Amino acid sequence: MANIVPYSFGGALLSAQHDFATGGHTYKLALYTTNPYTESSTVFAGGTGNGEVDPAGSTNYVAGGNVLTSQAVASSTLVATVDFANAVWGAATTGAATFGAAFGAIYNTNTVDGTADRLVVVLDFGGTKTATAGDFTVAFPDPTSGSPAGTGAIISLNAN
Amino acid sequence: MALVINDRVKETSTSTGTSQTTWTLAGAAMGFQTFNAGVGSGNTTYYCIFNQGTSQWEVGLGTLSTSTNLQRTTILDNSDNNTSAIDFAAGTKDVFCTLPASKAVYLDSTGALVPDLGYASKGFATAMAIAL
Repeated sequence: MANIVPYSFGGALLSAQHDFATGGHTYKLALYTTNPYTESSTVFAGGTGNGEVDPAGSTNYVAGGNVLTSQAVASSTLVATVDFANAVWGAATTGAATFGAAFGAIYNTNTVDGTADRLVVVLDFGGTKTATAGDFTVAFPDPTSGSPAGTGAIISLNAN
Repeated sequence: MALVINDRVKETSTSTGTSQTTWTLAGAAMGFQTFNAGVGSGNTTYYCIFNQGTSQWEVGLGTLSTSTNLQRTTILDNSDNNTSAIDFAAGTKDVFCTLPASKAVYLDSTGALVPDLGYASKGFATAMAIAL
């Protein structure tokens, strides 16, 4: 089980093509049954042909995924972190969900320097997780976790 | 009266016809236990009757009314592809405890419940940290 951080992400980050701060760019999490990405991938790849969860073959999954909410950047002496609220496909948001997914891709929907849907990271769930008429939740880790604190966040920059 | 499904319950029988009230069990097959031992008199169970050397078979919900009589209470499937009692011809039958496919609940290759009984289940995935 391994997440994929695309080679392009570091460069995009240093080129100010991402803004994870509150009120910054809009990030989405798309779900996949199979992983279409490699480290060389640069942008979001959608559609069932790329392994994305099929909206027609599931309940309450929309092509392209859901917008991630409550994004926030925090920084301490050594570690800067990004966090999002847990992503939930379920009764309180989209209605009860019925689908399975094994991978997720976070991407930036904003067009920056002429490119939209820049890929941030591909998440490996370690196998297919399935919801049947219930909530499908992707839980992001506590942004203060890890040692030093913050290195357990979903995305962190460690100056140590 | 409980529904009891048990392993290695198998007897022979020479009963014939379509009677759903009288079906005499003639004793356990070698290495198996009787319905009376494995299911218990007064209980129900899923059964299969197969007429040896023929194409006749029947799967149903049975009631063990006595230690040696299995009532064919509800026919679920049979070799005529309907839910009527088979008119079993003469010959030795195998009668055994089974789990009918129509009553099975299982997970498919994606982990989804089959059949969809309308019960809710949650999917929960953990996003692993990325340190740059």
